Amino acid sequence: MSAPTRMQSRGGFSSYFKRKWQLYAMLLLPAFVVLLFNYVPLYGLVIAFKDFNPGQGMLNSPWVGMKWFKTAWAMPDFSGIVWNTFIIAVGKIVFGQIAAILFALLLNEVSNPIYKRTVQTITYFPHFLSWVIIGGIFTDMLSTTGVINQFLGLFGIEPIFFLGSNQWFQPTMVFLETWKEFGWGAIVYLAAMTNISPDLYEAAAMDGAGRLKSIWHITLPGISSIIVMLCVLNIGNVLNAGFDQILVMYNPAVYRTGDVLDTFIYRQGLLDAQYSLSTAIGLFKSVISLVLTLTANYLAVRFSNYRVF
Amino acid sequence: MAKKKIVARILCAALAASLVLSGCGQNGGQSSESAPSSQASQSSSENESSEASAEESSQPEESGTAENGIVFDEQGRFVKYDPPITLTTHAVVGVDTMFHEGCDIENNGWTQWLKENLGIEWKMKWVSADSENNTQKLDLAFASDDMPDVIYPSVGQTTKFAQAGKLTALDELLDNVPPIVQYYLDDAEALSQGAFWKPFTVDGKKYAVPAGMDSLAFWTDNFIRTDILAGLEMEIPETISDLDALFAAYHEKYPSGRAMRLDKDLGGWELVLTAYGANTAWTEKEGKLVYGGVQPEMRDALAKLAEYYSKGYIDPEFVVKDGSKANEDMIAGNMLVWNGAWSAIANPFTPMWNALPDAELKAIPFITGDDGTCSVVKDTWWTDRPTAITSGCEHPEAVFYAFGDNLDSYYRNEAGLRETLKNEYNYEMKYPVTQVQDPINAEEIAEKYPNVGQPRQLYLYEYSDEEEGCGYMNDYYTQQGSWLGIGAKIVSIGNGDFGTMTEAYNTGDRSVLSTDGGKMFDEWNSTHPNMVKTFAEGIYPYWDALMAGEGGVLKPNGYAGASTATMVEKQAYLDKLQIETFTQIIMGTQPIEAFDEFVNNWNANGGEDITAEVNEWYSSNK
Repeated sequence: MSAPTRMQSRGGFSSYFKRKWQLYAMLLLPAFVVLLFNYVPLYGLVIAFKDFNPGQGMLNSPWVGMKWFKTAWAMPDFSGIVWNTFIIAVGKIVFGQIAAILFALLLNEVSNPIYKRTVQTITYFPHFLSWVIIGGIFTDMLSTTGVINQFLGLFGIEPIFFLGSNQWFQPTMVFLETWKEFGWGAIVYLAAMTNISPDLYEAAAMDGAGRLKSIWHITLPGISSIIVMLCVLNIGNVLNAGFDQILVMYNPAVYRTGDVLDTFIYRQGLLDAQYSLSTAIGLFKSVISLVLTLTANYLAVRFSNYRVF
Repeated sequence: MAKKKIVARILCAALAASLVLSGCGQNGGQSSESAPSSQASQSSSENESSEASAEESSQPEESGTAENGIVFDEQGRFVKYDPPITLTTHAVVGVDTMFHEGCDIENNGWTQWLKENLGIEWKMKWVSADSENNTQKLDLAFASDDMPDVIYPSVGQTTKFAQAGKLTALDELLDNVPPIVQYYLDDAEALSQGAFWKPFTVDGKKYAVPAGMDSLAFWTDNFIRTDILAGLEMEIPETISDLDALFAAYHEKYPSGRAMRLDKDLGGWELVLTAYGANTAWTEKEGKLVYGGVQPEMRDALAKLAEYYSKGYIDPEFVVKDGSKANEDMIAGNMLVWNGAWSAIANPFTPMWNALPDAELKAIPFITGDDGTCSVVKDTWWTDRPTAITSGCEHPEAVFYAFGDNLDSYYRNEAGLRETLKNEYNYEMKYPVTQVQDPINAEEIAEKYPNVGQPRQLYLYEYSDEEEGCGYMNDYYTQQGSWLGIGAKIVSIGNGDFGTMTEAYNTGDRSVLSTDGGKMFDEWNSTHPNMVKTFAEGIYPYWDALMAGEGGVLKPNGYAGASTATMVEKQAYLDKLQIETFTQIIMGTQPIEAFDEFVNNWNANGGEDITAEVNEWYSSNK
């Protein structure tokens, strides 16, 4: 806030720019990268409204209006795919956030620093493994003769074919994603918790608050703005069900519940070279995400007076 | 703070790793330019040979002719490009692709030969890890209008690219190819009864040269563990009822064993399909082409597979297992019948023999219905990996010149071909007859790769400069050529290799082996003796009978055209619907009646239109 006042007092933007131009020069490269990789490719979206024929090129391919959007909606399996995407993505967001917050709260109460750090490292380690590896391991573990079913068998539960049953596939995907990411997700919350003044806890302890009370009245309100921010950012993901996870683990037996927009785009776009159709579906996804993110931001400003952007 | 440190350390480690990796890349690049000293004998002979052939080519220049930068000798044979030209292309370099030390796909003996002797520089626009990836990349290159000069498209891609005007029509070029290439084309056309060009002809013009391959390369077979069979005191099954009885007996004795192989793509189901004459191809029925996936034969076959699944003959979790995962039971000795590509004698059967030395395996004929009939659809040999030239290519004729020299050198020891070319094509082969040598580093390679098929391409030889010629006496270059697509074989000669191997096994007489047959014979024997045994005792005799048309088992795949308009829009959905329904019927999550619903859905959602389009093509191409 102080910069503009100084600018005015010392003779406007040009002299300010003369003194600080190095900073702007340093900004040029990242700005260029964003421009090149995030904005220039937006031009390619025109093929969602054209019958893109590589022989004619993007410019000369004929316009077809909303044809591809209609084609997609007319596909017998499309509404099911959107629904699967939504269910899996929302499940991942909700359970992922809850698990991360709970884990952060628990870890924050641990006083032994070595134990705390060890646990944290172990829990966020899976975040760095690719789904190809984790998928291979879990395909074995989740098998009807795998360790998980053997464990359930101890309680007299019949073996469940987690990856081959339409009933179990979606919960399994949500659970695995939550397991893989909760340690990583907790880092942000733990960082927010370190910003809460220790004075508050001391004062609460003086007033006779126990652990649960101080979590409820001090820690949670202290990280509430971070929770709101992550919720707003995550709302934009309600149509991102996690491409690599699903691609690695789905199979024909669970197409009805496991096929999501990203795998659909992958099959149409990369395997069948239907670029216009897959661009249209991708654009559809982006528009929904944009609208939802803006709405969530508006609600956050309105009800908790927190502004993400 | 502690967290930040941990993150920082991980970042450092990642950074360090990436530096090390990029360092490797640089080293690799340097060493490929300056051949390491351990390769001295190899590289020096290459250098000498190139000098020698430079001398050779300088002689014809006096008496020969040069035209538009192309040098011909006095017999009109192509010699080289002067100044050199560049052709760009693409290739598949898989994880098991091996090169001599310091070499890579762009810089190796074969590309050096092309450059130094023929004046053709062969550059990669991209490489991909497998053929599926390769097809996708080619599609993307087409979409971004950035295709290499020489490409290897699928049948569908050829039509698509040609219609977009991105391919060079080959008709005029084909009138002036070297005589040895002409021989190759005539031979293939005669063997395919004229069908050779059909898949690659668009609006009456030829757009790609089909690759001559061993016609047996794509074939699948049934293999049975005869030692388990003997333990059950059962005979080799012939009909589907025999198979029922055998599986029941096997399951009773080995409750956790897999009677047959099935993977998530339904690989292995052909074992049952043949008995009902079911397939997923287009075959003729009452004068029209029909799609096999919606025929009553398929319904019967699926009902049988569902029965086997419910009885526990099939892995209950086949649906999450890809091909190699499904093979694990075979390697562990936990499977009775294996259906799939015959190349299985290398993998998974060789690992199985290594683990279970007593396992005995036999290739058996296709299972028939109870009436004794069966049928199976096999792909034609000429539809795989054709070579096409894009419209931006400045020297399309160079592809045929390079191809001609490849064939000339490769078949230099085929006396019959030499005679035919001389008498009927007025063509004297360029490369001399050469005594085949044994590799000098075979023991070293065998030590280095004890448990896999011996990588012949790593062998070194001591051919003299003259014998080496274009290097085709060296297996290493042979494999280079075929990776790059222009290593296609003369079909009528290539198919004889398997026959000579079988004869050599039966008679114990090595002298009957053809050049390539001999190389394969030794390679297989050094990998595992059972490979040749299984091939010669089961696979080959059965093929021979099939090729002779015994029993009318083979049905041609009727549709060889490109993707139709409706296929482009609907095929992805139909394929998904098909595999989903079939999988669920086999697993019992849907009753067999779901098949009737599938047929209705298939027809309603584009199948009917596709059938009409396919038949339109069929009536105009009969």
